[in-house]
Amino acid sequence: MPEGSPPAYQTSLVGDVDYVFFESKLGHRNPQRGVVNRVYVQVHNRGIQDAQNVVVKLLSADATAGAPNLPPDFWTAFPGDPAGGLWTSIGAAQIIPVIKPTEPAILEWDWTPPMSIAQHSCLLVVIDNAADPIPPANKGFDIWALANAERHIGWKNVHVVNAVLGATFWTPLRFFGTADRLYSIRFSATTARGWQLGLLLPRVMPAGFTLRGMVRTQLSNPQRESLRRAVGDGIERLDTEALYQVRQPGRGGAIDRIVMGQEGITAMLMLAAPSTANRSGTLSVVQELDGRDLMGGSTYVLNVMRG
Amino acid sequence: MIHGYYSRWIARSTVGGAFGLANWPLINDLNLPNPQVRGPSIFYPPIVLDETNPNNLAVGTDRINLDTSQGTGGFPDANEISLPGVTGTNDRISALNYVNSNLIYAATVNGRVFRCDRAGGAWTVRVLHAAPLPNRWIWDVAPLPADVNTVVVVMAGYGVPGGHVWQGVVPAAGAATWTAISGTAPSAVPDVSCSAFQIDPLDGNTIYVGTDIGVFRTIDGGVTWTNFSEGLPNVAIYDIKLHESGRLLRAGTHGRGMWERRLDMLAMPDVQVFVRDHMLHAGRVAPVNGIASPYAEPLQGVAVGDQLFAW
Repeated sequence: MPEGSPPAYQTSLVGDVDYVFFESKLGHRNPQRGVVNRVYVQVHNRGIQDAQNVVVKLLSADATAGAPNLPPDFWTAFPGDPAGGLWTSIGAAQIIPVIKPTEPAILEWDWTPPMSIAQHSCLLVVIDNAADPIPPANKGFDIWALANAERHIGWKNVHVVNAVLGATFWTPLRFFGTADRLYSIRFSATTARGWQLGLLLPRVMPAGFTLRGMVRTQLSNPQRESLRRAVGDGIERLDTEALYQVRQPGRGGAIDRIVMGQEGITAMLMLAAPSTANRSGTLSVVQELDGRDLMGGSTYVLNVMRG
Repeated sequence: MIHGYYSRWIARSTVGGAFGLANWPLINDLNLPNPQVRGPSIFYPPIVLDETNPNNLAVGTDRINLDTSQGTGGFPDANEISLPGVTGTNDRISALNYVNSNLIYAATVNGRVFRCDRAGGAWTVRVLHAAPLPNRWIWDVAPLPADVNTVVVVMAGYGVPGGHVWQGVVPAAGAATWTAISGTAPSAVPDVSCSAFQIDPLDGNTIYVGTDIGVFRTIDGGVTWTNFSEGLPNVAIYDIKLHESGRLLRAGTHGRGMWERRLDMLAMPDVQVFVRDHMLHAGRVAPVNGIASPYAEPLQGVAVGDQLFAW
């Protein structure tokens, strides 16, 4: 979601970004296509000695269909670039000469995402150090497993939604499945009260799913128009007669016992800003297997701006 | 979070302790004609939560002021516990331990120790101090984790007869039987002020004591003590706590910050680098998906209670 051009940098140079500034002043923003963006990475050292020559590599990937696995030669090429795969290195790996135990280090990359980059992209940072290497057993290729198991890995998949009062924002959400399994799509409770949160499912969906803290409603005309502007003819693939809306965003909600099928589904998430209140917050939409095991999801930072 | 400024100025934050007075409304305001927490106190009175019910709050002055809703209930006078012989002019509470909803240990600046038991909605108080327990300022009190009838205290001062760490066995009635567990030189707790201690919940024989010259540890119930200040600056330790699930010993110092030490390994790793996935990922264990944020990070749009995920 571009914020405008030229971009408004939050800081001028990485040298100005000490860790206090990083933690107290820098906020998440979405990447802006075709212009220089600044990506900041903070690396900590919890040991008792200085960490020397810490290698930090940054990559991006299209996450429209979920974060892809790392290519098979990722670890053998590290910190160089793998030959193939769906991850693209952002610049060259950098080396932090010294990280003191009591003072984290900040790195910056200038990144110009191509105009073709997907709206739903994610960033991956991998750090390594001779004195504290990534255990060989942990050098897998599944991003989900890596991000959960490895403190050397950081996965950033946050979407910032800046909406003017009363505006409706649509974004695709891809869910995955295997045959004969039941899933849940869960909306976390959010402090972004006053927002309307809803989901449109594909036109062809197996029946039998149930709603928890959600209600089936119909799209209003303005919502339908904003959806048409967002997806064009793709609206024909959606069941626009049923908008599954979170009844109370402060409590969250879920669609349970839903069948995704072998191919998974692509739904449309509706985030409609309130027309009067100015309440921001975060929302996470997660997919669970059998209502129990977390499979993945996305987090949205919802900001209301005066139009 | 409950926070004491000094004296009986006490504030409570429900937004994770965020900066700003608006985030810390007073639950006891000394500017009011009749402050709810009554009685003269030491400069920093002990403020403790019930270990088994965090709605119960106790504040030590010359009495124990109790509230059942984290101080927002006005500390009703009927809930106060008076301690025999403690008048405010001759003595004040310097240490409290709200062991559970029916048991509180209290100790005073003049070396008095009390046990308060609650039954049928009423508290009864028993005097535990008795010779040879020295008449010194007691800074901390706690029972053994597996035996609430054995209590440990640590003391301030110098030249304390028997040392600064004492253990009392509490009988069914009457005073406790006190034994010094400060060790014997050269394996003793040094003769300096001891401000806090922490008994390992997994092993009652392992005790960490915060002193004016660092942390000392016993693993044999106080027979021998060794310096446990590896990496700490030369500074007085004012408080010490053990994060049980993380096996992290944390020490608050007099002006040189908070320090921590892992207890689940013999030596700290020389280097341990990590990159944060989210605000609660501290690089010790795998980041847990869906945990609730205990504090706000407005720039990230995160409010208290928001769920945080690995991405």
